[in-house]
Amino acid sequence: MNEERMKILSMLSEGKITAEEADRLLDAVGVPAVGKGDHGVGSDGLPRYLYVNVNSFNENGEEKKENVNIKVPMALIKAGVNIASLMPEDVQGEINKAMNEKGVKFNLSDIKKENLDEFLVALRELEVNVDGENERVRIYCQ
Amino acid sequence: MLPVIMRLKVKNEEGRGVNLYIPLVLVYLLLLPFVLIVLPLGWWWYNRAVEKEGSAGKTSLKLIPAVLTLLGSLSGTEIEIKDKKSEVILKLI
Repeated sequence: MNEERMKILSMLSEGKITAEEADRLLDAVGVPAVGKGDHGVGSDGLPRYLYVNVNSFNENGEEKKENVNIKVPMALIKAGVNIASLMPEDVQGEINKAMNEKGVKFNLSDIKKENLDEFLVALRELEVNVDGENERVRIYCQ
Repeated sequence: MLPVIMRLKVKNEEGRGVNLYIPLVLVYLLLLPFVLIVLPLGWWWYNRAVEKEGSAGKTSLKLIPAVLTLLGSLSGTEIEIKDKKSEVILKLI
């Protein structure tokens, strides 16, 4: 058992922190919680996180200690769309215009919550694997 | 729920670095006086928006819970960048 984990558990047993706080701290030190559904979809069937992992390898195929791991909550997308829907029409128009100039025909007001849920459900199946000579990139949702 | 703990770990090639667990409640409390100072300005801005745009201006009030939701959804974000010499970890819990 590592030192940080021991410290958190002793703080819990001494009553300095609550069970919920201990759970959060264990998450923070990298101890995975059991049965929390972190490694699957949420109770609503939607993926909870978008993961981006980049690993590099040397010429012998051994993994170098050069990694980038990013975990983004999907709730962030929902919250972003919610804010976008509250934007004044002229601001939305400006965004649509800028996207059009970049070649993306896009109407911000067309993104509805129901469509977003469908999109997020579809993302459950998303998995992008790019294997290069020295790098491997993996993008997936869970 | 707003993130309550921010973990920031930075380690350099000599193995020295910091491993911080920052209780964000303190940050929120520190920001509170600034929010209270800005409130009258926000109220003036809101009234101006309602005057100018009518009922459409009232949607600006909905921005407050929307921004709080956005901040809350940041909870669970993790960024880890490691190489042979250094390591940076940022987690919002």
